[in-house]
Amino acid sequence: MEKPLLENRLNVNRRHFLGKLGLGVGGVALGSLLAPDIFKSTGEEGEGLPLGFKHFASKAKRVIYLFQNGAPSQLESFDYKPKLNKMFGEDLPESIRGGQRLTGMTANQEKFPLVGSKFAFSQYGQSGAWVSELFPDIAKIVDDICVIKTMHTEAINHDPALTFMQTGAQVGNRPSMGAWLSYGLGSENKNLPAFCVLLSRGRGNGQGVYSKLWTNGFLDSIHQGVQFSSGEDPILYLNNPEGMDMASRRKMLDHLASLNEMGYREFGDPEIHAKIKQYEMAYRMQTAVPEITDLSKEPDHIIKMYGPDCLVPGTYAANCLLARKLSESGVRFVQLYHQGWDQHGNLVGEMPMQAQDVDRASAALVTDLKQRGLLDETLVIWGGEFGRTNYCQGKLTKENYGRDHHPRCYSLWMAGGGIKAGITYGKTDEFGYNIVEDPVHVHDLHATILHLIGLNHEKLTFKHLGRRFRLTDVHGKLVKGIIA
Amino acid sequence: MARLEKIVSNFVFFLLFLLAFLLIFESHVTIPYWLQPVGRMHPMVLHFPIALIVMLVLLDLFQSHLEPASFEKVHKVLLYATAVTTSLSAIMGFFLSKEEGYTSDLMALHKWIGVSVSYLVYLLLLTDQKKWWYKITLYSSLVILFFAGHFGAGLTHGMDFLLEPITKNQKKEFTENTPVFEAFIDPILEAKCKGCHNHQKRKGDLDMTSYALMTRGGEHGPVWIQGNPAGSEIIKRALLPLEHEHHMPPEGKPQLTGSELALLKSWISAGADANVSMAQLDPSDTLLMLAKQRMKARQGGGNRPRYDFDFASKDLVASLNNPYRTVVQQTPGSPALDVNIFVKQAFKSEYISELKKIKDQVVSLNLAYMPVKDDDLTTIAALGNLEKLNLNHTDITSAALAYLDKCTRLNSLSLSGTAVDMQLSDGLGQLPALKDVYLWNTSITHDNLTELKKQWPAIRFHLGYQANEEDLIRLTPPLLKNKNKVLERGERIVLEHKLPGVSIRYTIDGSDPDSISSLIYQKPIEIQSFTDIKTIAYKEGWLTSEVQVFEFFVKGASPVEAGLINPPSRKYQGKGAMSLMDFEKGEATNFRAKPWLGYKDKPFAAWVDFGEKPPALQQMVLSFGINMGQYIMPPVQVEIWGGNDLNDVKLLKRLTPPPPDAYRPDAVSGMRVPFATSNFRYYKIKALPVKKLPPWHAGKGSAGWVFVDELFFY
Repeated sequence: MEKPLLENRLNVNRRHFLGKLGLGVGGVALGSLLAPDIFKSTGEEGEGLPLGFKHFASKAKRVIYLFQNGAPSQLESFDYKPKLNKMFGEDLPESIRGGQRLTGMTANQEKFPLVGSKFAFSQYGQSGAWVSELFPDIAKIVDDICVIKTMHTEAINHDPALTFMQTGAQVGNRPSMGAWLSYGLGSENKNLPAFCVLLSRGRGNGQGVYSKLWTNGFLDSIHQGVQFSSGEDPILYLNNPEGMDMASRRKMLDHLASLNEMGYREFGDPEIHAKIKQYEMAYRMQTAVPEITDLSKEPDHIIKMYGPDCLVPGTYAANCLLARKLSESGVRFVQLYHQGWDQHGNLVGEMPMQAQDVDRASAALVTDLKQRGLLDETLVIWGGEFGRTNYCQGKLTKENYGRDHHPRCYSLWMAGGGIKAGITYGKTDEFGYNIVEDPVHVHDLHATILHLIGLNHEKLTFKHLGRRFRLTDVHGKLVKGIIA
Repeated sequence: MARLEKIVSNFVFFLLFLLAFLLIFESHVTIPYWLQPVGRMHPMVLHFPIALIVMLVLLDLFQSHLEPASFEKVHKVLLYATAVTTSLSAIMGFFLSKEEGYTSDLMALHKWIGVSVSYLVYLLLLTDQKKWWYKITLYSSLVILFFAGHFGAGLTHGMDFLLEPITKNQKKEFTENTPVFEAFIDPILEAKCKGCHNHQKRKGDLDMTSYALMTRGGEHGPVWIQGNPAGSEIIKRALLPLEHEHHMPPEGKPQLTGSELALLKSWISAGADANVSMAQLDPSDTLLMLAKQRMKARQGGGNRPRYDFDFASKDLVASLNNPYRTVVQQTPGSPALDVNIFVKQAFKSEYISELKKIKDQVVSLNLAYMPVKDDDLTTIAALGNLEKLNLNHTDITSAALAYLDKCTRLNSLSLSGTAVDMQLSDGLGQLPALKDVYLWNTSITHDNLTELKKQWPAIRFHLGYQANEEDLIRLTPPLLKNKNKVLERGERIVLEHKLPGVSIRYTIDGSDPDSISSLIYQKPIEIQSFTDIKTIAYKEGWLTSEVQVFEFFVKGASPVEAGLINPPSRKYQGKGAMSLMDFEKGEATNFRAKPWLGYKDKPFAAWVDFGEKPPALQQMVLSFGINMGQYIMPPVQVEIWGGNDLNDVKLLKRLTPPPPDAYRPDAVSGMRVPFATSNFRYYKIKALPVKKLPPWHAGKGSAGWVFVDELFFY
């Protein structure tokens, strides 16, 4: 008996094969209807999705990052190490240093004399957190913040460390954290940029900041951080020139839009529509921004709270107040940089000035958010790019000393948006040199920040140069211990 | 028939190819709503392959009883039917799996087993029924099918569905009166210890299946010592390093968590009582707190609100979004919506009233800074599921709260910076869920707060920062609006202070200003010549600011030509004589810049020529730099000579200012040199650097510098 099945099987020749393959391709075609983005590059989601692609429920909606640029010493701020005072001038034991590489600035130093904080520490609040006398106002809010003593990083010099802290990579071509957030969450207020940058200069030894720290990297340029001017007008050229009122501006934009629309019909270039939208946003910013910079609704005592410096444009205090106002108006990520924390020498002279610049305003920002009912949805981060050594750089005297860069441990605090308040996380050894318990790597911090804002750091990706990039690269563990 | 076979076989091939494709690109696939019903047919269609594969097996078993020809026919029909329904069912299952809520490991297990069944059946289609491996494939399909079916049923009915009638009786309900041991301790031991310490398996001769057996203990004695957790075997071993031989549970087995260990410890230190229950414990007892925590965790733990209302349609939500109002889903997969309204000038009442369309879905509404009136809140009353309302700095009053009576889920209400007063207390009663009220910057005082707290103990009132009268803070000095240090004739000096209510006082005679007698700044100041304006900011309740000095030059008569009599020091030549008459001011920090001419060994000496028709002049201003750290000092003597012939000039004025007696801040300053009104064509100007720096200076005895950047004539 002839077996049709067998025959069928034997008849698979090239023609059949190709015929079947055709069917297969048909299957692919049908399948691709269900996965519409598969044969396109995964481009921007653009205007269509206001919420971006949040992955899960979040506590925080916005972030304010108070970056202390230059690396404030953890040993004079939050990490109390009395043993260093006892061992004043003694050499750092090699067993503790453990082959840690040194910067070019202390590599030739023959000895590494230990030096403790010249500034007294006390415990504050119900949590009993240790804070140095340089930060009396932050000390008053310790029950609202979570101090992480065990941050650690890979870089040992400012530029790579800063870049690492901001973009998750030491090389400067990746998107900044704020750009990732803007990409992931989109803008809350369509009349303002989603990512704003405010700079201020301290009185200590300074390190520069560069626009690569708030770059959009390979993400669409709408996610780039918008740097505000430190002068009187935070956004330049926003006011109408003399002789131009809002009505004629509106008329001009309408005409321009219809001309652009003609251009679009002729060429079909989507960039033309993008341009029209940008004009419209700029027009709306003309009303939105003055409302934000207007202090008339602020009572007198807000000035007392932030310190009168907040009336001087371009100071850290003024930036903190502006950051609160921007955040309150739906700006996703406000990035502050306060420069001047690089105390290689004359730490005793410079650090009090630096602390004075930031202490009152930083604490005021947290309190201010709290009293408006906004702290639970705003994440505040305060810290630098690495720590400082427990030994003296340069000449050690009873009165003064300096500290070099130290990547193995440093302190940072966070408040609000889903953070456990009133705790101290992690432990360093009694030399303040190595981490003993609960290390938090920069990637871990990034993963946790994204988590708090509702984004999964493993899923927030962007395809570029043939691979998917993440803020946390291939690393990052959630720091569960600090999440409320 | 053959044609039909071919079509069916191709169809199956197509389906399987599609399936493979979908599986490979699974992460990109989204199922449109119109296709979802197809997926939902999976639970129906899957019964065909189950039945048909069983029939194929039966057919195979009874093959010898059938006529070969009819067997062949029946077999073929059955086989094709099986293949089609299996692959269809697999694809439908795939669609169904993409709907919400199917992400468990069980799902993955079911999916991959189901997929392998469909490929195995296709293999059957290609296999000669006579070959021995046909049977193997067939029977393995049956076995795998069993598991696919079992896990699938587990997905829909729950994995314990099958044995539930048996296990159900063993499920315990824990209440406050259940002994802590039974409710919390025993389950921990069950999960982490009893696997190796039971009747069948008595490692270390220890059986932990009952309280009594544990107090008896094993070869190392009892499991615990009452009241002494540190001495108890169970705690000691749990605390040993993981790699230690005696550490329990052994390395590789699930370890006790921190909270489990804490619970065990506090239970032992409370006496390891088998009968004590939560209700009997003191409210401050650590054991009670730990037990409560655990109880909470067991009840689902999550404090995330769950919502039972429907989703608003996507189009509706999209239509409500505009540049000034954002309506966004709070969380993916949640029907709850957050609404923000921004930009005061663009605000319309409709922005609130339109929210009626999504009245069930709005859980958070932010109206801060908007000109919202009490009446606008009538709409908000319709938002029955509202949880968080931000009315900071709006125009509402206490009466507005009356409109919120339907917002029974409202738990956070921000009223900072509004006109609310103590009447607000009346409105709070109708908000049963209210937890936090923010009242910073309102008329509510600390004393009011005590009253409010007494009346509403369940609500937290936040007053925030209160200005402390004794907390005196120094004002910042006034700010200068002018950009240029050299004013045009008639240009005025504009000062300001950002803090409302600050008065600016100033002097122009060089004396220090005070808050009583100095001039009050009321309108922009006009000056005639070089002037240093000293300013302070003053306000009641604040410390007066430090003195801020602004130094201004005014443009005067311009010479036609100028020349230097002595050449400047080699490094500081500026633009030569041009530097003196270009109105370009230098900075006190960079003396190498073009505006500056520097002199040390020789005095500064220059001439100017006012041409054929010289103007009448009576004053010259010499602009010089001070940077004492860099030995740059004010000139010790300045002279001006005049005449109509450059070689025949007479001394008009010689000025010898008092030498500085201490360091002064870096500055660009001026020196006014008045002389009798004259209209000479030529003038010569001389400025002498200090020969020996004064004793208080770090470089005492060395020569100082004089730096000049400009000359002005009036």
